Amino acid sequence: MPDLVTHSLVGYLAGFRLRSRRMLLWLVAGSILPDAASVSVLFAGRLGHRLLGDVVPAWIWNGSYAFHMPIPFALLCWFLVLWVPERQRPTLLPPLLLGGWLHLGLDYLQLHVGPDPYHPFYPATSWGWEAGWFWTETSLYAVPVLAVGACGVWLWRRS
Amino acid sequence: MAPFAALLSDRFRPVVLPVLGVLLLVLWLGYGRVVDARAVTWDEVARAPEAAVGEVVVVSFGRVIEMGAEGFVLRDEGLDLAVRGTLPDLAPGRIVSVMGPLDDDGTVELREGHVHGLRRLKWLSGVLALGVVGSLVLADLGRMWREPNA
Repeated sequence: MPDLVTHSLVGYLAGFRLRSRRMLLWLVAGSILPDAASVSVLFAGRLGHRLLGDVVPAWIWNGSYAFHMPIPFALLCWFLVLWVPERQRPTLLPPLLLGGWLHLGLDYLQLHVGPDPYHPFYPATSWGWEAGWFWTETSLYAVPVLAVGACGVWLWRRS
Repeated sequence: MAPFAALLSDRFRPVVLPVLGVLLLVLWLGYGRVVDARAVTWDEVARAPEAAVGEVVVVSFGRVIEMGAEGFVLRDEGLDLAVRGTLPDLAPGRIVSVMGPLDDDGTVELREGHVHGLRRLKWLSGVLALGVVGSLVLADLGRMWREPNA
C-alpha cells in the first residue's frame, strides 16, 4: 500500500469540487478505510501470533485483506453506513465508496515481490493483478507535492 | 434511486444488516483460503519442511540480521532464513522482501527481491493519517447523532 498520508491527500484532491464538507471528509475517510479495515487486522494478527502463538490460524487474519478488494469493500461500506442516522446514509455512502475505490486504484499500481497481492474481482475469481509501476514506499516521495496541492485546494475552498 | 434508498432505510435494516454481516464474514474467511493457497511463506516452511523443498518461498518484509559472503540471513515471524544472493543497498537492519526456491539445506536461492526504504516514515504517515482523519470522522459522527436531521 502507498502510505496513508498519500491516500488521504489524493482523496482530498479528488474531492476538491464537492460543496459539502461532510462529503469531502467521508471521501477522505473512504480513502484510508481499506487499510484501516484490513491491514490493521493483519498487524493485530501478527502481534497476536507473536504473543500467543498459533491460537488463531494465520489464514483467518490474512482473510481480512478481503476488505481491500472492491466488491467486499463496497459491502463493508454499506454495512458501516447502516449504523449512522438514516437521513445521513445516502450522503455518506457514495463518497465513502469512491474514496475507497480511489485507494484501491492507487494500490493496484504498485509492485510487490511474489505473486500479485490484489484480486480485483474477488469473490467472482481469485485472478490476481497489479500494474507494477512503483514500490510500496515510493509514494512517500509524492507527499510534498500532494501537500502543496492540498493546501492550495484548502485555501481555494475557504475563499 | 428508490431501491438504493430503500436498501439504506431503517425499514429494511433489520434484514439487510445481518445478511451483510454474514456475507462479510464469508468473504473474509473465503479470502483467507485464497491467500493461503497463493504462495508458500517461510513460517509455513518451518512448520512443514518436507512439503516445501524445491517450492518457491516468499518472505515479505523480513529484517536482515546478518550478512555473509554468499548471501544474508533474514528474520521473519521470529524465524531465521538464509538467502543465497545479494541485493543493492543491503545491510543489517534493513527490511527486505525476497522470493526463490527452497533448497534441501534450508536456504533460499534469491530470484527476486527488494530492499524497502523509508519504513519509519511510512509508519508515521499511517499513524498521522489515522489520527487526524479518525478524529475528524469521530467528531462528525458525534454531530450526526446529536443532530440527525442537520
